[in-house]
Amino acid sequence: MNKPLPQGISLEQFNGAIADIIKIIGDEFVFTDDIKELRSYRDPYNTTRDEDFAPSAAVAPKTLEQIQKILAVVNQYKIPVWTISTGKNFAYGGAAPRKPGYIVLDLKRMNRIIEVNEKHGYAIVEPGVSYYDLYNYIQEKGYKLWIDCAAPAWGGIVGNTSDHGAGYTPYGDHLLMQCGMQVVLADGTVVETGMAGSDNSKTGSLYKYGQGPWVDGLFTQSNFGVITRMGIWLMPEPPGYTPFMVTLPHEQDLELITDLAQPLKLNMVIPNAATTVDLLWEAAMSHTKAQYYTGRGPMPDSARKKLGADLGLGVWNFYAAVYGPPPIMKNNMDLIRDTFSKIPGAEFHYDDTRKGSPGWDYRAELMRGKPNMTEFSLLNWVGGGGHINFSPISAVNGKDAYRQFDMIRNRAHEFDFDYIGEFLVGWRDQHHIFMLMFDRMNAEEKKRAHDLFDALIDDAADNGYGEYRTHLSFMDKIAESYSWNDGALLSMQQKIKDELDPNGILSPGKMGIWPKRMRDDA
Amino acid sequence: MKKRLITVLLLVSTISLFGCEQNEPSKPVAVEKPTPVVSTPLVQPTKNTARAGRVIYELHCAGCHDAGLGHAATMKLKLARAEGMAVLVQRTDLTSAYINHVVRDGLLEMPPFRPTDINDEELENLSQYIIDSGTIDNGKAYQQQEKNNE
Repeated sequence: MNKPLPQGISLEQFNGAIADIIKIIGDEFVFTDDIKELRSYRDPYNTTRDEDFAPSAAVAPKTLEQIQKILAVVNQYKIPVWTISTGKNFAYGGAAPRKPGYIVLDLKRMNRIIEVNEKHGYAIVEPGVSYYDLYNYIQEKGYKLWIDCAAPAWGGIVGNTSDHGAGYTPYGDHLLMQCGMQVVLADGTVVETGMAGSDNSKTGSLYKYGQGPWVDGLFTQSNFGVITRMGIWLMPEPPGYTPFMVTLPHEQDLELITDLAQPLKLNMVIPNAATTVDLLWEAAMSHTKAQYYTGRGPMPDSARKKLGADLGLGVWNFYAAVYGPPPIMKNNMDLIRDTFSKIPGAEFHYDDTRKGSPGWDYRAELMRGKPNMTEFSLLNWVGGGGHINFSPISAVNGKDAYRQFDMIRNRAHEFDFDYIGEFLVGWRDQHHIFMLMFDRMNAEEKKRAHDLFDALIDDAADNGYGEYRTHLSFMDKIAESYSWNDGALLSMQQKIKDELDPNGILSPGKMGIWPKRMRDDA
Repeated sequence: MKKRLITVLLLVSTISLFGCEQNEPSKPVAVEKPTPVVSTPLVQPTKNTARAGRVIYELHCAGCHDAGLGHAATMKLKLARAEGMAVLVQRTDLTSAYINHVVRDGLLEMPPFRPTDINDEELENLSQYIIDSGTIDNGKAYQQQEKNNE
């Protein structure tokens, strides 16, 4: 394989840029060996070829000043950098850049926990701080605070929040709980957003908006700057916590549970990010598909029935929790039980009977912000670990939820894949995650998974559903599906891009936003 | 875990020192504002501070490779190989070269780890930790599995 290089850049120019960057951060943190070093910067689970997203180098600064100097170098050479933090971003592209030849700007080494404030409930962290890091730190200090982590929890606060990720406690909408950030613009200017935009601010992590336009959102799922620090609100540890699960025996129960959960969520009787999880997702926490079915294509109903019966799982399984002093928990739990008991065959489950079951244990941990890796068991389901997530947003509305499920399930079966999915129930929306699993060593299966994903974007767009996040391979197509008024939204984003990053060096193509000089080639 | 406290003052002076050694960017840049808080880095910078193998194992491997239910890799290795080969730190058949390759390259379900997650020296420490922890005769464990499969 030839050395991947940025578009229009000669090997000589590339070597010049790398030599300049080595002067800034030392050669120990500049990685250019395609085999020994850079294979760890690809997306091992993509649906196409590794070469499509192969970086030319990865560089790992430790300080803000080093980032500024690196940006000055790449501005001079017009070489794109693809910013990553910590965590893995699997299902959405991993550490790999949008196009071959970019230099990955790896912020993992910027891993300071700047502050944890117990009284006001927040932390300020650098991009390299993982959920494990922050959790361990809080435990060690004995602070009565919870984090809200993604699953799998080797993710990072800055990376997940800036990609609009979600968790499972009452603080599950991560961007909603973000407050203040420090950003380096393409020209090296450092900006503190919100209240911290004033000198000697004492409220940068307490009030999000400062004065004037609130700009933090512009730096999320975007390529307008490099986030170097972020404030995140942390939930005070409540005096009590009761997780529960409701198993539902029929496919159509998705409609019922969604409609019944909706007012409970909107009125905060269920305060946390609840989940409605399908049978196979649950089963994958302790079993593989081959233990129940070895044929081609989706698991047949007979095997699904046996699986559900053996593991005590429903076709759908609804997880949520109540928090607070025992009288409040009891009051809310009574209301929740009365509501869901209207569904014929619905069964309630608690810690006393489910503890020790991996599916229950990891959800019970996540809903109180304890990081774990159990969800990675999904990769065992078909074996070979390949996966990408198709993630449309749905209303918390039974008919919409069922329609989306039915649409995805039917297409998945048509392409010989299982439907493995969950709905993450927020206040007014649901993130519907379809986990498209395939064997990454099987080229035919990869291609089929790619084609299925492509078809699903069209299906969703035809039905008025949009995706909240996506894999590198599909960023352009999904950005284009937000097409109202001739794609005015994307046009505006490109205008901002051109103004803030005239040389187009920061993560070109992220979420379909290309700089002017690359728009024609994209 | 041994930790070093780095004061804000020390950090600021290190940054300034670094700044003097390099050419300044062509455009003036804002000076980082002093942060009125105590800074205690949880994870030390990788340079010259290679963490011990056990620390790396617990941070990057244990979540999937520890013994017991709910650990994805342990579950898969048990099914694909043998009961006695399921728990990484119990195995005696792994070599340093093999561990290094799998960590950097990934293998099937397992993803690769970047040199900023685990640097080369830490990877050696990790391999040694896994090898030194081995307790099981994998030859026997594997033979038993072969027998069961027959």
